Amino acid sequence: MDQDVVLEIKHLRTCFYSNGKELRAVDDLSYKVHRGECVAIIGESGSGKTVSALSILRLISYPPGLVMGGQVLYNGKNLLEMSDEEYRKIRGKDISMIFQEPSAALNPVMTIGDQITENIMLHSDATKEEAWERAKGLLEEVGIPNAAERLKQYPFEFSGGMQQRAMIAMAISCDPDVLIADEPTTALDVTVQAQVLECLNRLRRDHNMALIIITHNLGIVARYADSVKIMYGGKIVEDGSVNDVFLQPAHPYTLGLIRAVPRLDLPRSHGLQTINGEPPDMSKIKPNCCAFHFRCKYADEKCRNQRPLLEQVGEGHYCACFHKEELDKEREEVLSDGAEA
Amino acid sequence: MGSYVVKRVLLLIPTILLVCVITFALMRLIPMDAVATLQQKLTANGQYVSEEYVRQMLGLDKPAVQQFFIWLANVLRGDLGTSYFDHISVNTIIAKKLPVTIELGILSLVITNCISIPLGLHCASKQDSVSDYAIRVISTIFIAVPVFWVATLVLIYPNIWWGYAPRVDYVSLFQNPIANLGMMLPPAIISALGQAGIQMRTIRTMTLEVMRQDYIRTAWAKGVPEKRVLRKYAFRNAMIPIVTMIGGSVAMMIGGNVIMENIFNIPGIGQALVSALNARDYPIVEGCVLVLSLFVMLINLVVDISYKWIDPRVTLE
Repeated sequence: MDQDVVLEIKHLRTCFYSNGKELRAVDDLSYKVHRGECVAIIGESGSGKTVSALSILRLISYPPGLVMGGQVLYNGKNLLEMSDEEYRKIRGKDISMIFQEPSAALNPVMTIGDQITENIMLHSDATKEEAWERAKGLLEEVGIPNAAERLKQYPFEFSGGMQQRAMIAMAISCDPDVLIADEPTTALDVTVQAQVLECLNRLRRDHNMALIIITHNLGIVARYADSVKIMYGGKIVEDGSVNDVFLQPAHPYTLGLIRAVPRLDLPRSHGLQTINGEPPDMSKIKPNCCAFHFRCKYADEKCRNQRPLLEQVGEGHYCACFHKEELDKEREEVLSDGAEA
Repeated sequence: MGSYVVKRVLLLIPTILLVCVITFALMRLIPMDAVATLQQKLTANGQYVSEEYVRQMLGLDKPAVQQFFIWLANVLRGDLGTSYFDHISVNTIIAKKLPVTIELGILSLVITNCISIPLGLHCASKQDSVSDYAIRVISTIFIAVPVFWVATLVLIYPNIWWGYAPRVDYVSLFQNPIANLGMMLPPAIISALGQAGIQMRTIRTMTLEVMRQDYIRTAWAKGVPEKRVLRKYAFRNAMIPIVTMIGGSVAMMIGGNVIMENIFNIPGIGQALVSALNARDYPIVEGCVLVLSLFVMLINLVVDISYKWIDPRVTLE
């Protein structure tokens, strides 16, 4: 199994500095991504999921951000120790990324065709004509009709969903091994969301590339992901296959998330369940505590003074919580409402 | 596009007319006119004429409104009038002096951009570095010192130290390019420095603003080399406000080089304008202002049209 690992993140730590204060946005993050696998990273705003992805691509700018430690191994090579020039050749070719807001992420004064061919020509010896031909094929592959005409248009002439497709076409133009999608559908409306995700998933299978989806949409995860990482306060609190995490959630936060999914099949009196408290204020969380203890009903003195580490709870299923055994009753309750979230 | 240009050109007419009315009125509102001076001059030449005669001769005895329409009618016929003092037609004066002013303007514009664009981009890419601070401090100095002061220093000190003085006798660029440039470059550089300071700071700010945009992050994520990110992504997007500013500085350079032309004795339209103003030589002042303002308006038009070319999102309506 392990020779299939394309990307391995080991103890990644990214901090931001403002007003002399250190803010640990990503704290000791480790996970592996296998070839062709779809990994979902879930967490609420401010949980460090986007920062962790940007850290992988070394897109955190200093000041204020700085990757403080850890390793990002791509095929065994540590990306964080490469020279800028060396890494430039990997970005967009072997590891590429698509962003949350396609309308802002595309250069407004370059045609879609120029932006896609730029990527192709930067990372290969293709001539302008070859790159253009390839770009046309890519647009067709992501489901944009009239590709030849569309290439000559500017981003503002595309709808939001089409922009994201163009963005995807650009990101996969060099057949990357890893594609990171940072909330790829957040800015799109629901019907378009599904199309874009289908498109991403199909490309993942066709090109055998690993896909890291960052999202807070559990529906996406349940449908497309192979493995799930739940992030809270810059750390992974639960890590496992999609079945383990959804059917046997071991962390109170995961359980809270599943519980908070609005349900159409339950009576209205059931109401919308929420997780108490506010999203974590990273500046207030001490390094040696469970980040979730402010909002957790199981929290005790130990949670406030010691950091729980990821422990195995099942085959390939890990959880960082001191009270995972006490969760059984609540889990029973939540899951009895329906197996699938 | 075509209809837009036509519309804009038609809109020039009322603007120009307003400029003419204002200039005409202002000239007649300043105390003193050319009559007394001209009469003295004629008397000194042995022509004994009365002030009334001179006034009648210049047409200044008629009501101002009537004078204006006579002048306007002549302008529409392509005749800008004749100088009161040396009987040269204003058309000839402008034809001779406008190219000089334009040459000076283009020179300082080129110098301004050659300084401000590279430095602005450099400062934006190396924000808060030592060179960024140094360039910003120096640019502030050039913005702060008045150009006429720098110009005076340039005239005085090289002369004291090395016995060098810029030429004061004008030769055309086509006759003797080296002598011409030797005369035009010092004033062009001096007037460019202050403008370059302002422009460089704006370019820096605009580029920094653009550098925070998501598409810049996309460019990095694609592995685009830094130089190309700056050029194709940052600068290209920062161009729109910058072009507006360059358009404004072209206008400044045509009008604002009046000071430089006077200090360095360059026979441009600005110099003619100032001496005509002092002598109350109405036709020259009115003709020069008309031509200069037409020029400025045309440049603004060109700037507006160029937006279409810079930013594909712009539609000209």
